[in-house]
Amino acid sequence: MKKNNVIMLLFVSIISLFTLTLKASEVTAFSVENCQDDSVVTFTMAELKALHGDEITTVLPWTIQNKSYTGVYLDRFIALISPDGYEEMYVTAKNTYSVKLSREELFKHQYMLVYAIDGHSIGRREKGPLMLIRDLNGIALEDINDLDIVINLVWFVETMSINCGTED
Amino acid sequence: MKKSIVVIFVPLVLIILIELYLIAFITLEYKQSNKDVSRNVESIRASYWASWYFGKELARLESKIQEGIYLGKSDNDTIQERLDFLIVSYDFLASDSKISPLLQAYAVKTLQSDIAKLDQLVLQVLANRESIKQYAVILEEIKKLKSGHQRIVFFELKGSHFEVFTNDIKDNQQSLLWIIYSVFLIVTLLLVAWSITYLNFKRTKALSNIDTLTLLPNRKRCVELITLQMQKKESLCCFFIDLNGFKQINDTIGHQGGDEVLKIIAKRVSHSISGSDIFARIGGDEFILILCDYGSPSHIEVIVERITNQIKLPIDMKGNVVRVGSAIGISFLSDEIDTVDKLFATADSAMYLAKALKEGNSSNYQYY
Repeated sequence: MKKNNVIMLLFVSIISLFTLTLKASEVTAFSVENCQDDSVVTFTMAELKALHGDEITTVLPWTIQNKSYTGVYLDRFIALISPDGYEEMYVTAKNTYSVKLSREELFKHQYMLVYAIDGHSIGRREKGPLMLIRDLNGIALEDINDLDIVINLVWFVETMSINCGTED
Repeated sequence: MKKSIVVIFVPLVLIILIELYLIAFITLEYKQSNKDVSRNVESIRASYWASWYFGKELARLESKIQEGIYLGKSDNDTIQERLDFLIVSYDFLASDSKISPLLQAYAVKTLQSDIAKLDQLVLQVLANRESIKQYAVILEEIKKLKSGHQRIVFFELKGSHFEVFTNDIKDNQQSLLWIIYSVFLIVTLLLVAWSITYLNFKRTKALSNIDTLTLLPNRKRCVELITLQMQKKESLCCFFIDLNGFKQINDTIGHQGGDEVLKIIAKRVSHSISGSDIFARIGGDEFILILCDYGSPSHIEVIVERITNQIKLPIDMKGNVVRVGSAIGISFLSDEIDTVDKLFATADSAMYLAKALKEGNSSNYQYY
C-alpha cells in the first residue's frame, strides 16, 4: 500500500512537472490590459485561435491583392476586459509602435486582430504574428494609402491597453 | 416671336451649358491637383517615417548585440526578432508605394546588399553553438548599415526627393492655370460671338421696322404700333398726309433733293407732335400720323394747323427755296372703323377729298 502511494505520488509529480513545463512553453501572444481595475488577460496563440474567429477579405496598403484575413474583432476583447466601455485605448506593437483608437473610430470601422492570412499563420517578416487591420473594401485603391487609414493599421501587435492614460 | 427667342436664347443657353461643363471640369482638375499635392505631402511624411524607423530598428539591433557582448549573455531569439523588425522596416522603406520613388531607389542602392549580408550573417552566427563569440562580426555589418542610413538621412535633408514633388506641384498648378485661361478665352469668344449675332439680329429687326430714309417707322411697324394702341382701347385719330407739289420738286431738283425734302418734313412733323403719337412714312410722299388720346375735336384742329404750317414752311435746298403743301385726310377709330385697314382706308379717302381742293401747293384737310 505504501509502495503504491509512493508510485502514485511519483506519477502525479511527473505529470505536474510535465504540465508546468508545457504551460511555461506557451508564450503569451497578446495581452489585454485595463488600468482602471488593474486586470490583465493574456492569450497564447492557441487561445486566440480558439476564440470565435471571423474573416475579412480585403486589400491592404502593403498587399494590393485581395487576401483573406482570419482573426478576432477588437470589440470582443473590449467586451471581455471592459464591458462598460473605455476612455482611451491603445494598441501597441512589439517594435514599440503604438496607436490610439478612439471610440468613434472603433465604432465607425470594425478593427480586427488577425492571426492568419489565407489560412496560414503570419510570420514576423510578414508583419506578424498578429496584425491589426480593418476592412478596406469600398475604398478606392488610390486612396488606401492615405495616412489616416494607414496610421491605424498595426504590425507585430503585442498588447491592447484600456484606460491607461495618454501616451501622446 | 418664337423664332426670335430661339435664335437669341438657344446660343446663350448653350454657352451657359458649356460654361457649366467647363467649371465642373476645372473643379475636378483642381480637386485632383489638391489630391496630388496632399498625396505628395503624405508621401514625404511616410518617407521620413520609414527612414527614421529603419534607423531606430538598426539601433535597437545594435544595442541588443552590444548587450550580449558586454554582459556575455546570448539572446538569439531576441536578436532574431530584432533582425526581423529591421528587415520589415527596410522592406517598407524600399518597396512601399507611399515612399518617395527617389528615396526608395536611393535606399535600395545604399542598403540592399548590406541588408542581405546582415541577414545571412545573423543566420550563420545564430546557428553557431557559441554564437556570442561572433556577435562582433554582426556589429561590423551594422556599422556599414548605419553609415548607409546616415547617407539616406542626408539625402532626405538635402531635399533631393522634394524636387520631384515641387516640380509635380508646379506642373499641376501650371496646367490648371492654362485650363482656366483656355476656359476664360473660350467663354469670352463664345460670348463675343453671341453678342455679335444678337446685335446683328437686333439691327436687322430694327431695320425691318423703319424707313431708312426718314428713320420713321415704316408701314409694317406703324400697323404694329396702332394695333398695340387699339388693344389699349384708347381713342385714336388718324391723319393720312400726302404732300402737294412734291412731284415737281423731284422733277426740278432731282430725286436726291426730293429725299432731302422728305427728311426735313419728317423731322419737322416729328417735332410738332407728342411722344405718344405715332408718325410713320408709309410710302412715297405719304405719311400716317396717329394721335393717341387726342382730347377734344378743337385740339385736332390745332394740331392739323400746326402740322400744315410746319410742312408748308420754305425749305432751303442749297440756294433753291422750295415749298410743299399737304392734303390731310382725318378719320377716327370708332365702332364702324375698328380695324387698322379701315382706319387707313377712311383717312385715305378723306385725303383724296382734300387733294381735290388743292390749288398749286396749297394745304387742305378733310374729315371722313
